[in-house]
Amino acid sequence: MTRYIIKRILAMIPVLLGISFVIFTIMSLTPGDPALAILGKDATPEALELLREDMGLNEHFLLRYAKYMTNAFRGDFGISYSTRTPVFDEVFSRYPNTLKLSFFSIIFMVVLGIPIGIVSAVKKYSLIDSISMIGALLLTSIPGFWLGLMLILQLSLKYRLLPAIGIDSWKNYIMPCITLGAADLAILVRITRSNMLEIVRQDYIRTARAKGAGKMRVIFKHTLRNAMLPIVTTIGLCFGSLLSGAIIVESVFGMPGVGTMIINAIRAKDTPLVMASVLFFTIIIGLINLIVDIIYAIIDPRVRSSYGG
Amino acid sequence: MKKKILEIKDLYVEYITEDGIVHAVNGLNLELEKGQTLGLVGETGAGKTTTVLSIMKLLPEQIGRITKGTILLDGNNITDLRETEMQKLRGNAVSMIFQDPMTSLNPVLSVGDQIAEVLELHQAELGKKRIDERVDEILDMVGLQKERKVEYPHQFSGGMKQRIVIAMALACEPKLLLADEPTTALDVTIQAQVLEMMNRLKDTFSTSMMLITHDLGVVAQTCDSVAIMYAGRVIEQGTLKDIYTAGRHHPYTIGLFNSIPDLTKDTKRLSPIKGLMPDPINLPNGCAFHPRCPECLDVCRYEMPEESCYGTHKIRCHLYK
Repeated sequence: MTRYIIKRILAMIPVLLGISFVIFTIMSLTPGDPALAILGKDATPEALELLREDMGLNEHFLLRYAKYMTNAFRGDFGISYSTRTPVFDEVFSRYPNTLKLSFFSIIFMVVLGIPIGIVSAVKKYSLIDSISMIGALLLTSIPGFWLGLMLILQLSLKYRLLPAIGIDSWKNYIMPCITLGAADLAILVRITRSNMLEIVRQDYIRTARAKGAGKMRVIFKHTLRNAMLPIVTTIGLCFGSLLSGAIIVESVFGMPGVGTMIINAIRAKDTPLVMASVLFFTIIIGLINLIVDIIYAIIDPRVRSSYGG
Repeated sequence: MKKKILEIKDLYVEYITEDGIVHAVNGLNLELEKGQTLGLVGETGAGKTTTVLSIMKLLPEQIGRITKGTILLDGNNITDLRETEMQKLRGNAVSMIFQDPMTSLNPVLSVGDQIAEVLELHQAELGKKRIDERVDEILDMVGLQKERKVEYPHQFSGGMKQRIVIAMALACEPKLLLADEPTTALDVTIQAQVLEMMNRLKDTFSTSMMLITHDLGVVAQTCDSVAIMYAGRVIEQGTLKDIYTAGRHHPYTIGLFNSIPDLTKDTKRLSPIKGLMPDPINLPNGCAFHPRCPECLDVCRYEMPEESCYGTHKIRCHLYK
């Protein structure tokens, strides 16, 4: 197991190299001049040329990529073109907010989604099942930004229950988490329900009942654990979509997260900032996938033995 | 008269499906004496599994239901027992072995835990340590090393899995064991081992057994009495001797025996029973076997025959009156 984890972490290196290369290439090949962006339209050609030389922009882009990566491995992610501050500090001051938002959304999803899915499956075709299925359909169909705006309109403006913008207290996270997690919550409810129903039909569930196991025991000990694999996969996948969804939610709720930062950085052709943000994204998603695979192994002994002990 | 462990009287079971009501069991009568083994024989779809599932009360929820009849287990009527009361009986007084050992075990629980669960459910008073020892003893009885109890189902072969399923079924020393084609999914050499073991354990625990099979050879080896089912009814039953040697038989039974290839006779083709099992949604009038029966009489087409008794031997056919 430990060997498997080490192998997986090492396997992230080529992924990081690949993604960084693609992003660096795109940033270098798209039109736009960082020197112009920094000095403004009124700058003299000499000043621009001097700055380009100074920033190393005149060198071949492969050479620049190599230099960037060697520095990055040493922990130096360069200076932001637009804010003139170290990229590392900038990214690290904003990432916790985005991660907090995503994690809270995941918790919101799991705490509501799995129980609703289970109840729906156990009470198949009942009123409660119909309500949750219609609810799930609604949540997947509603665009996130609209839901966010409606929440602000109702809960902040009309009833003054929750703050509309900022990140000052836990209350600030309630509406963004609902907005961000809503669509994935609906997916989770459906996945939980359909997998529970699938597993309930298996022979070993009948065996459990033939042993004299009660309803609760059959649901939680025998059915849920077997249904967990696809549920965990879904949660892992949702995390990726949550991180990107965070970009919209952060702008709706005025949260200083990484999403708004990336958009601004791309506009300003701020290569160091874009690179560092994307690399952090990649590492986080890679780690989430690894965690999902470890949870697999904990749940299912067949997966565990395929990892080699 | 010996005491009966199981008595089924006039049992009717139906399944509600989109195509209509499936009449799976239609007026079934069965008895099993204590300590004996009853072989329940019949084609696929004859209602054998439905019968044992009715005894366990594990018919598919919302679809299957007992519409009429009584089931007495050790003299007690279990037909109207509530689910919670049934749970106390299942795995304890009556347990079941399923057809396919490959899918009958929970893949995410260790086999030791799965065997221990039966004991935890019914003999919790033993305590954790004693249950653990008991699991070791049971594994030993079914011929598996006790060290392997921490392993998971996927680490065992089919025959071993069936041993585990049997271990689970016998853990609480049930009065009645229902075995639904326990050896069908196994290859022939393992089949013999498993049957031999089941017979031995059945005697050790003085358990009565109902063995579902369509293998008449298995019946001859293991059973004391035989019931032959067709379209949800028992059409002939009796002791092993009655069925295998007596002169009178239901034409269906004769057909079944004729479909077994005989090594001593030189025949080019097998002689199967012509036609197919009737559609259980739309059963024929009279004797359900009449469309396929080579000795069909006029009366067979509209009147269900009564049972004719010859001592222990009972036949439900108009030919014998």
